Amino acid sequence: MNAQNRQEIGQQLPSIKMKIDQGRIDTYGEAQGENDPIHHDQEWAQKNSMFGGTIAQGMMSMAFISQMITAQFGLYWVNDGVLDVTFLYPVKPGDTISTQGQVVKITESTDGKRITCAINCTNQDDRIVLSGSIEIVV
Amino acid sequence: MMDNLSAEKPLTYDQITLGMALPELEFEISEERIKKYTDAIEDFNPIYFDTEKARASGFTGKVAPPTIAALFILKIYDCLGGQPDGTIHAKQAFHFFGPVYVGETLKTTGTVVKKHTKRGKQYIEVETTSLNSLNDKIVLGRSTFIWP
Repeated sequence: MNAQNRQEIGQQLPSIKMKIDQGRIDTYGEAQGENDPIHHDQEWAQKNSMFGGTIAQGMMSMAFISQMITAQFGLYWVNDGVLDVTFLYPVKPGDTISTQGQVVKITESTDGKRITCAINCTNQDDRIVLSGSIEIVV
Repeated sequence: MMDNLSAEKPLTYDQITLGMALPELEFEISEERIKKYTDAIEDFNPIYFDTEKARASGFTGKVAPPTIAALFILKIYDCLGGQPDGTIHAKQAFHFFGPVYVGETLKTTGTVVKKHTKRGKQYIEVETTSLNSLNDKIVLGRSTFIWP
């Protein structure tokens, strides 16, 4: 178990950093069984999308958040965990995405300790691409 | 509610109705899917691949990365003919109730709970319920899409 035994308000979660390229986006699309040109067809995306090119799947960044939570608390968080995010800005090939998380609330319950963290992902320009929260019981 | 939920091409925003129930999707958490997914997200936690390490960590077998839920909660739109090109995923929430094990087949249903327009964009919200091989609730999801 990777979890630290003590959590405290303000505690930072370990940041995960990932380089995004078209190959990763295509592999993710294969795993998901999707072939949406907004993710995979640069020419289509340039012509038809408001983003001017292909973008990564939103849930890919969510997966990085999940990795960050697991690195901090161990995978037991899935026994009772709520992950809630809004995708705010497109992630494009060439971006580097970093996750951030901070413990903002801790309450004791009959089930265990309920921990709430504010989380987000930023790109290389410190633009927030995803933000939200997680609430888990450890 | 739409009578025919086996559309060959994606439904338009107007064709999607509030309360529409998406038919149950069965989705196998195969080792092949785990491999592809973990390659894409570069997450090589040994408990996804090694039974002994998973058991040593307190699980009964190899477990899937939690956000593999993204794969099956999006696959349910196949019955709508998929999602139209250019659909944007705006928001996502998951409530996890336990680990998903490699080799399990999950059953997911969905319901359109909200549709609205805002600032010229069309939004669809769908709630999903996924049951594991024991028919236990394992993941609830709420997805918001901007529908072209």
